[in-house]
Amino acid sequence: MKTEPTGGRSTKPTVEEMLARKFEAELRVAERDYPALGEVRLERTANARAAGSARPTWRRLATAVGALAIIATIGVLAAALAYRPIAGPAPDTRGAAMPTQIDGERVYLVSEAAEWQNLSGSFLLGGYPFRETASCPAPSPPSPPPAEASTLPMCGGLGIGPKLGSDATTGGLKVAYQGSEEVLGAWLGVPVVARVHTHDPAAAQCAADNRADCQSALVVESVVWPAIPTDLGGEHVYVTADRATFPTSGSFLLGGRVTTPDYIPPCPAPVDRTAAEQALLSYCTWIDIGGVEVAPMSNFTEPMNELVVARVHINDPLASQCPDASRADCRAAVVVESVVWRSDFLILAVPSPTPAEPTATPGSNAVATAEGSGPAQPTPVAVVELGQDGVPTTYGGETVARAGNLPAATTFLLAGTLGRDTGCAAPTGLSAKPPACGYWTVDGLAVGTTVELSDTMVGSPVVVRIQRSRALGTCTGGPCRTSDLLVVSDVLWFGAPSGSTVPPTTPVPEPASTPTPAV
Amino acid sequence: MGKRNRGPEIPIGGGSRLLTNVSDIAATLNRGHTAEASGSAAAPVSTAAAVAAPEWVATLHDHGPLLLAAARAIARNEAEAEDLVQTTFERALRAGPSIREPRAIRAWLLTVQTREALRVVRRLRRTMWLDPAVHEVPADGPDKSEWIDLDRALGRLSRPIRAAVVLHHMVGLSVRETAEALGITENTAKARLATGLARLREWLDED
Repeated sequence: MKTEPTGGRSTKPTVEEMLARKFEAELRVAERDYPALGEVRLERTANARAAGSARPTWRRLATAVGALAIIATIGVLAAALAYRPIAGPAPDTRGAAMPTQIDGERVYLVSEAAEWQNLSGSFLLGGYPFRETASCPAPSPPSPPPAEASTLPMCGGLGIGPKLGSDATTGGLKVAYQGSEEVLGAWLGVPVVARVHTHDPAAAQCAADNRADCQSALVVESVVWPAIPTDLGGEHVYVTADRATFPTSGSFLLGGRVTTPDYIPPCPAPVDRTAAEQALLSYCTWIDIGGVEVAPMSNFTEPMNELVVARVHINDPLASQCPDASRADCRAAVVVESVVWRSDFLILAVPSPTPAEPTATPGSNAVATAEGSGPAQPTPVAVVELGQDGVPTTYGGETVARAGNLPAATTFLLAGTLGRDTGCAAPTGLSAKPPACGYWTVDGLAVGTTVELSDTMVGSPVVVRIQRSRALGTCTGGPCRTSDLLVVSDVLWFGAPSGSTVPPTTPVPEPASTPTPAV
Repeated sequence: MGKRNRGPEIPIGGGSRLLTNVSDIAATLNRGHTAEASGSAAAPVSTAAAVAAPEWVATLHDHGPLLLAAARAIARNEAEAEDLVQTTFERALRAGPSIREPRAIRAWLLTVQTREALRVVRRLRRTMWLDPAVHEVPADGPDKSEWIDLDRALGRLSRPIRAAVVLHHMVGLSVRETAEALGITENTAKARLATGLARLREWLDED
């Protein structure tokens, strides 16, 4: 519990303390009020029903819970007498919000690779999709794409992790996918069950060097849970992929996961847009259903991550008032009329408690504390030993590699000076094709990165976690070779640039953020 | 989107009928019929959760007081709070025991309830709503004047901000869980919490 920053302990409780005490007291009242299951309440419920209660009451609630218990007991007995496979997801018994089986088919977990990696045919795999947001110093992919494109995970691609926040460095598996990457990419950060397979037939077409990897790679076919209904009451439910066939007149049903922007800035009405445009075209923030942006005038305020089916329409009459230049966009705008279905399987990605990533202070035993609410948790400290050149030789007892002695492991620690490949100009603009230079280097090795690196760090010694990845190389016929890449997935430590008088380093507070040297 | 593999769903939307007691729910589930939603599309209901484990019912029961206390704090209306708890239970019964980790269950239930509480506000926008604003002051609670002042200050907060304050500072959810419950980002949740606390301090100082 926090105290007021008055320099001493105030006798007056803080607002936080008052709130906590208030809730403790209210909880005691609720415990008193909340009726226990029992005959009396069931009887009261029966009386209430006989009296025709006008609104839901505790009696009806008691009926709900109590009668369900009775039905559940009967159901369990019935199930014991005549077992039959149930339809739909079965509850998880492994501690995660993930079905153990769907329609009788087992759902494997990422961590159960020993059990699924040699399966023939497709199977169900549960986990948390992630995207490797890597900067990939690689040539442009060839066209048409070779077999590797659909059977090998590539740099910057998608993966499935064992828990929220996992990536390829923390137990996640990179995957290939059939068709649009949105099949999996639409579910980033939430638990899913995907139908996947290994030993894809196209693996036979991979270059000899890649064939074994192609055969063992996970290929995602579809996401089967959570699922949006394909029809409601006989009416087809459209999804993002059906965008080209949305009915142009009347309303239709659109299903998907609600996503809202991470940050909603203050949005003054744009002066250069007509009222019709402001009603139909998003201009500041974007809310979408399964990837389909909804018009600002929509009757839609669902929170993030709800799975919904909404009644929508395009070609809103208001579109005729849009200027010529934007009329087509106005006509295509999707206007939500109402939400007609919401899944009970509310997506709630509560992360499992995980040990904090060690932070490091060279030569000290400083203890970092976790940020956020609640009591601060001590974080393990990783001791760094520096070599003659000021570059660490170990990190937390783990040996770090240098450019001259790279291990063959998939992930490892690499130390060296952070630099830029300055052989040519860095790419400019989003449409610039990745050149062969202009990217980050660590100890002279060109690396991609999944974390934001700052030019202010150039010249500093760093310890980074490297994840091996690959990218398709340009090919002119015949099997296409892939390029091996080193991708920075985490910056664990960095020091002051050589020759600097700045005391070396400070702990990196958050691995995903840009570290800033202490001054 | 792949084939349908899911449990039962509650049909919602204008004109849909809430299934307010378990007899209706169970009968519907067991028949495997389509739930009626007059005037709107209906959600076919499977038999997936027809057999709810007694442990799941007991687990829900254990969370009853917490849900009631949180609902009262957010809704500040006894009837609405009871409705919220009931709706939460209905949804949880339909969803089945898909979450077994105790802390996750608590957060899940509070999420369902809070989101419903925020929806209620939207539904009531055009409705005359008389809030009796009568709240019991526990005999063994904190100082009564403090209680009343704090209760009044909480009541002045908008519901989204109050919900954030209740979930984080009163119920004890983490910022992340609070953000999940409200369907907002962590940064937005932090902003609401900061705003809520600042206003409470200001109003309590006034008093």
